[in-house]
Amino acid sequence: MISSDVLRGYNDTILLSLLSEKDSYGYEIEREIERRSANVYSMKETTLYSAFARLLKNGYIRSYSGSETFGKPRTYYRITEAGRRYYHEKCEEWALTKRLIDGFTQNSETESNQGGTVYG
Amino acid sequence: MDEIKEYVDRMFTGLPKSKAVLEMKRNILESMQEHYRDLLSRGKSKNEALGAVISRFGNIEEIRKELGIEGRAEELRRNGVLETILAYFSPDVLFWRMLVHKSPAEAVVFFSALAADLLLGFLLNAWSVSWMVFLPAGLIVLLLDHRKAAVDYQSEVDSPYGILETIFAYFLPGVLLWRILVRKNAAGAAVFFSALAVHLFLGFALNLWSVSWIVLWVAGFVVLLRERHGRSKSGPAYPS
Repeated sequence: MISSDVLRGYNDTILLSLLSEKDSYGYEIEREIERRSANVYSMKETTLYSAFARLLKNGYIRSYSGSETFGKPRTYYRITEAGRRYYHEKCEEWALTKRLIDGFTQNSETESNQGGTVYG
Repeated sequence: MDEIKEYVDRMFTGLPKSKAVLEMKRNILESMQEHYRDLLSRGKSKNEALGAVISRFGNIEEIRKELGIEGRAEELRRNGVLETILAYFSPDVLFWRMLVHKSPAEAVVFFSALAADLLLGFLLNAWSVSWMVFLPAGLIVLLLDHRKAAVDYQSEVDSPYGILETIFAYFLPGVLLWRILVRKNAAGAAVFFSALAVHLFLGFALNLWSVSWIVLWVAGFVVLLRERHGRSKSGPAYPS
């Protein structure tokens, strides 16, 4: 299981990534996240909708009323130009982060097998 | 389905009924209901589906933080206990804030209380207790405010208002005191409390109550002039 602390900074990126493919709405996005993460990660409702509120406030996405479900119009979200720019920045940031952390984690198995130094 | 709505209602109870909150609540409820229907259609039992949907809800604090909604304790700490008491339980501050808010609901509450106060006073000569009707009135306005969102007195004090509001702001002693407290204006406080001391001295020592109130009005005028002067020098924008 992945700790949500690590993911917190990237929830917005996950949403922007999905919205950069097509407009979508809350539940569809939740399912898509589960599907692509092979059920390893499911985003909580409060996390998802706080992220939508934040992205709307920053002008990275816009919302509109779309097709109806059970008589109620659904709220759809669309990524904006500013949102796309921000998404690309976050992608670059992740590439750097990944390279950095890889440098500290790739040898973990061989080291632990040696059973040598114990830290802390 | 009703269980989901009940659950979401319960989770949102502490939050103000603002547009942003209600919209978020509606969206979350819709997502959860869609999730629920989806699970049923995939052959889950009602209980299983309900459990899965509810465990997916998350933590309401996340929403509180994102929408910048403060808890009651934080709000009180920011506004100050004394300021809050004065704001809601001093009839003249209540009256002034009602003018500034241009809120019909607050006006109804205030004038009902005023009418009750005067009726009890004149008809039953119960002046000694009739003022107490302002306590429940203040409480009602406090609750009305709480439904809206956290109240930021500082911006209320600094927001632009008309001539009537300005006159009351500086010449009703209670409003003046409240504004001085909210602004943490030490010079204003010195002027106000000196004037209050002179007022009480003239009243009690010389029994000049009929004219001693003029001192408080002069103090209001002094504070007004000082604020105008400070404003034109440092220039923050709060026009009258």
